Amino acid sequence: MILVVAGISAIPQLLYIPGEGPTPGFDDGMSFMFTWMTMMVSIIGLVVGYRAIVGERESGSIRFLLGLPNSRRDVVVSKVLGRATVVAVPTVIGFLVGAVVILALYDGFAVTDYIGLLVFALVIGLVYVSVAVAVSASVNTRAKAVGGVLGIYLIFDLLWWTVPMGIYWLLERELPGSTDLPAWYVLVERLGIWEPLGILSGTLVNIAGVETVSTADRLAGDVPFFLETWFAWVIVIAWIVIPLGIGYYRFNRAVMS
Amino acid sequence: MDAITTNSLSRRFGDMNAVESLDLTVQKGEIYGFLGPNGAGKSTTINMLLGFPPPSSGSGTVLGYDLEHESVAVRQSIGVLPEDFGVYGRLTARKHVRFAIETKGANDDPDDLLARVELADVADRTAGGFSTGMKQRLALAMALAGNPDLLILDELSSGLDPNGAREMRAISREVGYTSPGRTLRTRFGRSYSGFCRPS
Repeated sequence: MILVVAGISAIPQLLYIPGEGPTPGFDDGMSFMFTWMTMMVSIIGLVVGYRAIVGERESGSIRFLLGLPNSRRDVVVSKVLGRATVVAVPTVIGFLVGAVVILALYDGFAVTDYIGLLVFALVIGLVYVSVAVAVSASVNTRAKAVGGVLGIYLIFDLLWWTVPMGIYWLLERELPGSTDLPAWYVLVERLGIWEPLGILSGTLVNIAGVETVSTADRLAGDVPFFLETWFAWVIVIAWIVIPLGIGYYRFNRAVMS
Repeated sequence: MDAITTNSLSRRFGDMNAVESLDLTVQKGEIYGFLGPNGAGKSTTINMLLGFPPPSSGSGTVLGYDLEHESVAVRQSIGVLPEDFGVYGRLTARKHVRFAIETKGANDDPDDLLARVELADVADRTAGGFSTGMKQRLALAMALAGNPDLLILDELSSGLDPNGAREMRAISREVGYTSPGRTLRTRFGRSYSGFCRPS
């Protein structure tokens, strides 16, 4: 498993070598890696996490866990930590491999940005693992866990941008522009799983040549506190804590039969 | 101190009474057979002894610990061979037993426990390929971790052929009678004449 993921993590680099034009720079490597790593880590987090608890319920090994002196909270917390480690270890290995490749091929290796990207990838891994383990704790069959995780990924991640847009259309009967947006619009947008992480990526990774539109430029008025960058951390933490809270609550009331 | 006591222990699921006002006392040193037809509430009772689901009303203790509020302490001091368990298919027998030992913070030798259930020679094999009887013995070895004062053996020989069941009983009897300092044996399961004390 670890080797497979490590291999996948290294693929962007490996693909990159022959595919690029003349003298690709460190920043090109970084932005390529950013796109691939972030998407891959989030999907791997979900895949690694969704069976964590429900898999043991279906196989019956949960009876060992709960017959031994473990509380159900122990089970949920240790599953999150364990599965996050399962994502983190190959991610770190992948980044080490990537560093060797980048060092060998490009000039100007910016260590802090590279470590920033690694930290960012680890945070992403933790968030998506938490969501998946929370789903895993909430349901009694693997099929429901797959459905739950897929549904959450589609709604709160891939398609979330349509939600504020839909609300806006319902209210205003027209589609929003890219500037002069009301604060609530940007807030709703930022409640998705990926959006607050994307905002934070700017503070952890600085990829030259990639300019993002600042929140202030998109808003009609001043930037309220809940749209400042630090508040994205609050939302990210909420994406860890709230699903796990619900998952623990449901798992704690589940009768294994 | 009794091994198990329950007072008016009851559990309802919706409008169904799974267990109704059960008063049970199991003494130390006793091998107790807890028998009944399917649906009699045996599993629900055992689950309540293990901490879940909590009783709808009534109370109980296991080795002096409250089964509802001190469940981790209960499970720390007992050994459980669960009903309908599944093994971790990709882990070896030794890793299973080591997991039980480590979770209990005990210091048994995994190989000793495996030897007691006659699995010493397959300690390094993954449990996924084990027969039902071997899995059952593996679970018994896990239940023995930490030298528990009380063993709860739920459906000890379920899924075993008559031969396997006899073997399992022989091993359990062996385990119960040959370990000094462990005076208490409590078991639950189907009918085993000559093994359980009539209750």
